[in-house]
Amino acid sequence: MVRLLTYYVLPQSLTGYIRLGRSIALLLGITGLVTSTAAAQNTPASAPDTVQALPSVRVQGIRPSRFAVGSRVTSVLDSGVVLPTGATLAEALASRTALYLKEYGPGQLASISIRGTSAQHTAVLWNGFNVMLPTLGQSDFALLPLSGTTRAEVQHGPAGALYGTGAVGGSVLLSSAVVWGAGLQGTAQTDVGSYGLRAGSVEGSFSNQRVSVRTAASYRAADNNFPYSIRETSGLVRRRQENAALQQWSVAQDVTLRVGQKGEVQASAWLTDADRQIQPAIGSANTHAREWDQSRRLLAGYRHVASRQEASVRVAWFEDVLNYRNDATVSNSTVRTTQAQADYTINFGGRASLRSGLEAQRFVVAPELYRRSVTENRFAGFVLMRYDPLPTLHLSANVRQAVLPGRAAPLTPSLGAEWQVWQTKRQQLSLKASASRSYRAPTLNERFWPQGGDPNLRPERGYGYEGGLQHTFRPAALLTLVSELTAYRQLVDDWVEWTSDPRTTYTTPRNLRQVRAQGLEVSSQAMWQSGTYRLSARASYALTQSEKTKGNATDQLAPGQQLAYVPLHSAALTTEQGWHGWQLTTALRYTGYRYIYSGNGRYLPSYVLLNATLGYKLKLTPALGLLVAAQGFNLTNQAYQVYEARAMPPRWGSLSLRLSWR
Amino acid sequence: MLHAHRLNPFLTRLFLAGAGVLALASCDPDQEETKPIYNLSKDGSNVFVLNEGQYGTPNGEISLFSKTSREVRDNNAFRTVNQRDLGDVVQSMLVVGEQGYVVLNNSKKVQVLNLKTLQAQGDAIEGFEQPRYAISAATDKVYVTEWVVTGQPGRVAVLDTRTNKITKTIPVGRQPERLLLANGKVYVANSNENTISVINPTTDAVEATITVQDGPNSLEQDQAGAIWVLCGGITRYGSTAPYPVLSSTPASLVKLNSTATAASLTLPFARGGASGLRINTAKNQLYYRFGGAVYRMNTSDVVLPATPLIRRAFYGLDIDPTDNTIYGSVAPYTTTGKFIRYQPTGVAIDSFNVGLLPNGFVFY
Repeated sequence: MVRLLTYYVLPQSLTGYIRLGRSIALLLGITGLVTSTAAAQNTPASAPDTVQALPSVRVQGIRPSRFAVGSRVTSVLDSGVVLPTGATLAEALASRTALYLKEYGPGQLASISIRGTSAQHTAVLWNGFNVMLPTLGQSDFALLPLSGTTRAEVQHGPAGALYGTGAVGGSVLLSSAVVWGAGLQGTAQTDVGSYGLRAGSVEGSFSNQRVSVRTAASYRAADNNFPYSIRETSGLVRRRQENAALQQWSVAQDVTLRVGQKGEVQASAWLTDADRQIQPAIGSANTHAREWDQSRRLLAGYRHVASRQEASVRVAWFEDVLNYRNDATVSNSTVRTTQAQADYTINFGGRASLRSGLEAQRFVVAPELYRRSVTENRFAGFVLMRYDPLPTLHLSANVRQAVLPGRAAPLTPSLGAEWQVWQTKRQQLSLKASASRSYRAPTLNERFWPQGGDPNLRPERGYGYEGGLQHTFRPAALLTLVSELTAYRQLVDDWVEWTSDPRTTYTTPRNLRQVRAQGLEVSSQAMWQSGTYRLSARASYALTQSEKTKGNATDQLAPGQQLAYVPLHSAALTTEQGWHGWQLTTALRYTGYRYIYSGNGRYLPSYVLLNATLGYKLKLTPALGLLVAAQGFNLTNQAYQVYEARAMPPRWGSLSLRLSWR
Repeated sequence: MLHAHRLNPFLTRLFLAGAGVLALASCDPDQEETKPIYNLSKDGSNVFVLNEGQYGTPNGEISLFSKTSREVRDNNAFRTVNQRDLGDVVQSMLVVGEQGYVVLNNSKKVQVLNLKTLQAQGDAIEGFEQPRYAISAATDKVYVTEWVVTGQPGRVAVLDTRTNKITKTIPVGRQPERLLLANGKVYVANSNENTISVINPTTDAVEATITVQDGPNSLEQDQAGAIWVLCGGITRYGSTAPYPVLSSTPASLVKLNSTATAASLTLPFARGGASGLRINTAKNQLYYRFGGAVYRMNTSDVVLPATPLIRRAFYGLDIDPTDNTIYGSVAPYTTTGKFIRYQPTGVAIDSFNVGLLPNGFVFY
């Protein structure tokens, strides 16, 4: 079982993979409430029954990602790399993957672009619930501290049937895995760094065979008063960044309780708060802009699992506050979201599963934003099917129909297949393919913005397909190479752009164009172990071509041009080395040139960033460990911009101390 | 040993991959690195298109259009010559001789340019608060309107063009917009109230305040010497949620009397939103934008025209003083814009792609 899994699994690093392998029995015990790694979707449905390690495991839920056969999944957090306390998903994704995040400065707004799509085309789910800000229809990844969840995975490509609105370019799946019978564990970390960085975190967890509790809290503050240079007529002038300080905290609590032989109750809460000065552009006046983002997320669920069927109901309540002010304007918004999900699954032996479910969402926007209170309800029904006709062949067929106010949403089916075509003692090759439709519901701003919002805007529609292969090679007992190649192509129709209305002076969202994104994703990772020395390395590269193919006559953008802020090339090379208590990790990241805005040849130049961490772990007692780590960022001291005219810090560093109890 | 032997080719590959990554860094497309020094003649054949740029980002630019060759010569003319950003929100540009005074609203600066070469004359002048428009008030003296703080009284900065320093500021009304030099006085449209401030450019003192209608934003002087003021009307919202509309006044076109002390003719519109008053070369025809269209009226008319000249909303509109060609700009916000040229009769001639948010034209 473990062997089979390790052939398929493609986590961020092989350190993670080994740990995953060891703890697989535990992992399989987690509930269906949490989304899973690529591993799980490739595990035959019979697998849970074969696990011997935990006879006390009674509840086996099937994770949604089991129905995502044929898709590429990248795991972000399963590496042992120490990130600064309070680090956010933005930093983890930007330094450790080839994904492109548009960052407006360190700790500032960070929006993602997967496979050449926009920030609104990546669905972000927390324990299965969409947490994208409904007004803007996107997530700021700088507001998602890593301490909030224990797992973060990126599923590339459209997945409307599984993850609903916004799952056009990809989906980011956040969850907290439950590990039963792990006892008491805890960590406390404190960090100090350049430009006023100070941070701290505590995390404690306890689990036996009946109850699992995790509490994690983190805090981070930074002045971000780093130096940068600006070109004036008189030459290069050195300045210090103003108005870029921030402080943020996160508190997360997960409780899972087993009820009887077949039931399981889960409750989670995640509170995040960020108070940020908004970094002005180089050359723009400091308008003392400041933004306060606060999110409260609560969920509760019950799952009942019998041998051939399972059922679950879950509810969630979110409150998202985004208050912005500068010298001239004030903008406050509060949105409350209530969501409910119910699904029912039938398992046909170990070879097939059929799940059907319903979802409902209700958004209530407080009156400040749109000069009136706005309510919107959305519904969706889905059927997911997984069938493994052979142990080496996995198929899935899914469909979702969303019901949106205003205009009709398209039916979004998806089909996926994975076939292990070749296996020898040392090598294994699998082929995978999938085709999906996707959609993006118009955001609340697009529908209700007082001057220009269009309640009749059509949902965007996507259609994409991909194919690829995975290759595992074990040239020696302690060396493993895992490679993956994926090619994809997708069209997004009715792509929305805000544009000036020819009849009024307002800007208004319009279904303006069709965009085609196509590209290649290549990744290769290796792990080698010799005695107490271990090395793992992962290289990934993405070629992303995204351009308008056709559009409305009023759309100024000419077809055939690469969209703004989509780098044609991006690559990442990460390594981790360990020897006795020492660990050294490096992350080298290349980002190709990006056009600044559509329709003009201007671009931001490519850049290479190198970050590294050196740590030493001391065993104070058998259970108590102390990790001392020094981290360096932008080690080659590049002057670079991720977003136009937003300064980024030169070389900087931080020191971390982490005390861990088991 | 076996392990090491197996590893080496892999490490080599890894290294090559890393080197390849670094090599990629040099494959950016060629950006115009050349530094042409333009040698423009002030013969009326050049049009500077002011591309406001994205608010909050200093990517405002000047597009250089040649009427002779009917082409945009450069959509990043400032950057091409000066190898740096011009600024955040290019609001307007004043021409004084061969010098251009570019008002950079959200940079809170004014950049002086040599319009022959487009070379920056030193770093931009600092010390402005939400600057909007500039006018040559007297010899060596430029006035710049400043909103300062939205909703509070604005001011006019007095710039000494010999030193490029602000010598003083003159308090005026709320949100002062365009200025007009007429009869030896400078008239300032206070757009968030219903007044015009009249400044004596010799003493820099406000000599009078004329009451017009709500929201004056632009002014012109006709061939007979009469001053026309376009008032856009004012819509006020409550200060607390849900920000109800407290009041809304319609736009008006106001003609001042011969001594320019009070309105002699007031032509009300049905609703608010008129803007951008312009005048033709002969100074007997007025142009303005209202309700997504461009209108033209004779200065001898006593009623507003009922039918528009061009049924299209423009982000910026100006009239070429040499031949009355109408230049209207279209600004799609997320992509670069364009401008369309029209004959004085309203018949479209041609169109050209320019930069982000083109908001005006300067004929040189």
